Amino acid sequence: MPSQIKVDEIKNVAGQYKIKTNVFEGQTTAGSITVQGEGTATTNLQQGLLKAWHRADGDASTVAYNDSFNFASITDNGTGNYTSTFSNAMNNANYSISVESDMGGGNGGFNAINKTNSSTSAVRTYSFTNSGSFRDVDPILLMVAGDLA
Amino acid sequence: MTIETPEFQGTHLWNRLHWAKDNLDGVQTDYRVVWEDPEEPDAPAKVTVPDPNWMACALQGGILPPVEVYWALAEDEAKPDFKKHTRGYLLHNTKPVDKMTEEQAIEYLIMKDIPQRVWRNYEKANRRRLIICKKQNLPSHRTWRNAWKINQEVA
Repeated sequence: MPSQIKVDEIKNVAGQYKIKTNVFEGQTTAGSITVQGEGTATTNLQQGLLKAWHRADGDASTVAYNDSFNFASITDNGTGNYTSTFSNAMNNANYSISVESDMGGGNGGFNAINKTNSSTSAVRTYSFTNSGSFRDVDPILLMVAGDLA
Repeated sequence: MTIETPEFQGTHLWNRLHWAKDNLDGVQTDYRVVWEDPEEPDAPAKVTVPDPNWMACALQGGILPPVEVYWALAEDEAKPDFKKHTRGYLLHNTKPVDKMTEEQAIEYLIMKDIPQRVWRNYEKANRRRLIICKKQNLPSHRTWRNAWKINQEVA
């Protein structure tokens, strides 16, 4: 049985450009797959993926996740103050986070992370009114990109 | 219908979570962990709530790593020269834990996500700073959320 197949095109038995497999692994670097991007640019598959996300109800009597991926728990620290803890930690503290929330009845507001109270295993987020007071929000939306441990 | 967990030791934890998301229904537990951090004596009580997908993994078994793995990573990160994890393989290569009951999962989660200073020797502390309860035991509204404290008489 050959260990290497050299072909320019792969089709399934129905003649479609469609293959099924469970794992793609980079040849040069196992954790790096290049994907053709827009135009002539290429993009890195692994770096382009979200590593964690959640949608949570932050103003219920007890805060709770609606849906998520790669989180183990959420801690309600007080009004508008939440800690989301990963199942699979990030590799370093330089990961990137996007936090958003409901606008709060048309009055607006803003959200932030607390760098001091965040780590590779958890991220602390705050939600504020437009005047800077803490406010409970529903939903609280979090997306995390970066390198996994 | 029960589904059998594949042999996951050596599989990246993130991929195991993908499998769980595809194959298991989330479990919304009624359990809540209420705790106070002795390093923040003026802060209100905190309430930790398990993620439903995580709880499904805990009840299924064979997916989550032992809690000691998280402690090892936390020790590494606490070192002053920490830049990135070099022992992330512990998450993926350590034998996963067997299935847990909801109560056991809550205990695991306390040891994973709540600082050790809160739960280590908590029975010897001069005030109760951690309690497991049902969500029905918590206030039904958040009007005075920043005044929540553990009721020492109830505890």
